[in-house]
Amino acid sequence: MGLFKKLKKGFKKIFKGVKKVVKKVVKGVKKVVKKIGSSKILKALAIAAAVVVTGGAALTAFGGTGALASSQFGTWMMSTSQSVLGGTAFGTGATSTIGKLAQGAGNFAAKTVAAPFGAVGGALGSTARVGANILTGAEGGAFAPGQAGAGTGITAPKPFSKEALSGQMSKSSEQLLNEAMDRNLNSFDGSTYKEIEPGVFEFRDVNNNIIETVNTTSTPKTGFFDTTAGKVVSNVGTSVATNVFTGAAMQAIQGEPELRGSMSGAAYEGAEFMDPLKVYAAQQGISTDSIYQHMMYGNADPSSMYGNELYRQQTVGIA
Amino acid sequence: MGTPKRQANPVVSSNLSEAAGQIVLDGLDAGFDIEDIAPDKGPKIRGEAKFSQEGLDELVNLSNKGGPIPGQSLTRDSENPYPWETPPEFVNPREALDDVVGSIMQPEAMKNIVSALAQGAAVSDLGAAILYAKFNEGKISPDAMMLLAEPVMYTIMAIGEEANIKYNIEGNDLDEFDDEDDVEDFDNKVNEFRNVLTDIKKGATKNIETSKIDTNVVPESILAQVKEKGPEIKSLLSKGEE
Repeated sequence: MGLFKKLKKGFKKIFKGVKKVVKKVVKGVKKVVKKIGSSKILKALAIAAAVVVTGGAALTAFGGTGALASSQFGTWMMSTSQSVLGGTAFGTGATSTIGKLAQGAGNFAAKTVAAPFGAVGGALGSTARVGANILTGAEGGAFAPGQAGAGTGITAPKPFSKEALSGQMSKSSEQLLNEAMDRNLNSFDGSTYKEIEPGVFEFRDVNNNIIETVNTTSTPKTGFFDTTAGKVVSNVGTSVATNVFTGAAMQAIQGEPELRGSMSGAAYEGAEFMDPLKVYAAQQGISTDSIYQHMMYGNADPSSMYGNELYRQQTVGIA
Repeated sequence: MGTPKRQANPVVSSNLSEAAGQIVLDGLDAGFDIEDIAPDKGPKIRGEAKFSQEGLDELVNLSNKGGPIPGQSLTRDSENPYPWETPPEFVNPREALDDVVGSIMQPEAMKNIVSALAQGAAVSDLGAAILYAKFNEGKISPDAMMLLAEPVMYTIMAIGEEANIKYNIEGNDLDEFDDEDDVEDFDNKVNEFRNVLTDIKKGATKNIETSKIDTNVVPESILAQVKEKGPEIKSLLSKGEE
């Protein structure tokens, strides 16, 4: 038997094995949570697994248009990584100059990395929308935006638009105003807001101080996708965003020389992140020196959340 | 909508299915509802595989062309090897996974995946095709190809779920999970019925106090027979004495 035939045979066995494992896990979950259909559990598994495999990138996609659109589950399941995604992985309490520099650079990197990482997910949502449009013969053609949620005033973004790639929904001005009202509920009495320009509203407290200015005409969430790098992502699609638009490559595109040598992604590994890994490695007989050569999954494995950045990071260049 | 009562527990596993299963269970335990995790998006598009004479003809034509002559690969110029004959571009499976998932998430690739799933292509076949192509391009080694089967399958499944498609996982198994649910439901009902029947039987034979039986309901002659035979009353269908 030739190499290719052997490979194909082996491959078939692997896929059969994977299906068996999927079935086993579905049954296992079903035993614990009764009266839930297997297909529902399979869906939950697929969503959770995709979030783990894409290091959270799928969250943006699902968060924008799809299955996780109205839920907190995705964010919750990756909550162990939230400090990094939120850009605070490097802490805020550094006192030394070098510490502050590393902290600032690290947080900046974590934030910028999070944006294109989300773009991968945005494309996922967009494609699914296009696919659904093709299959259902949606009005407006393949690239028509998704339908608004009942009574929400929120529409799914137009596929491959800036909103879709940044993983956020298109909102009506009414929705934006309502959100601003909710945000300022305690300090705002419900009547002291006025339209200072067409579409621009000012919220004031009882002392007539401005609390917030809401611009309902601006495109929501401008930022990364308005930059040159962002436009490249939008135009070219999402070409291997996890590899290209992270860490050093991101810095090179953006031309920020002061960021050279900064740690990127989840370079910070505190004890709380490492402990479950160490325990797992000890149980499995894996040497922690070569732990990143092993394929592992879960919300406590930093490398499966942040891809390769852990071992691809630049060394800190201190002159 | 459920609200989580606590933070997520750390999960690490060498098996993606297991990790996902643990995360889902953890989420349910923390107070999420299954609808929060996997919201219903209405009826799904059925990705049913349909017989295609054209496809079958193409397959027959391909197989009729025959395979390479044994030893043919050894006649090639060793200075110009095929991509898969050279060391793979990605040695670390994690890097390989990034590359494969990055390729899958290309807008054009995903349109094709969604379309294929809706037309009945199985997740395993798509996954195999993608990984095999990566191997052919010399990007990954056969070992990495095997290791990535599971995450790639899940990525494709998630795309299917996102597009609200009922997809085949392997072969034509569209309704396999639902059918298993039906069989399980039926078995559960039969078991329930059996248990109830056993309870009734036990209850009926245990506490019969003949003194309390109304003689207007059961004639005295029959009652006398019951008293005489006691607990040894046999069913009409039981095996008789030989």
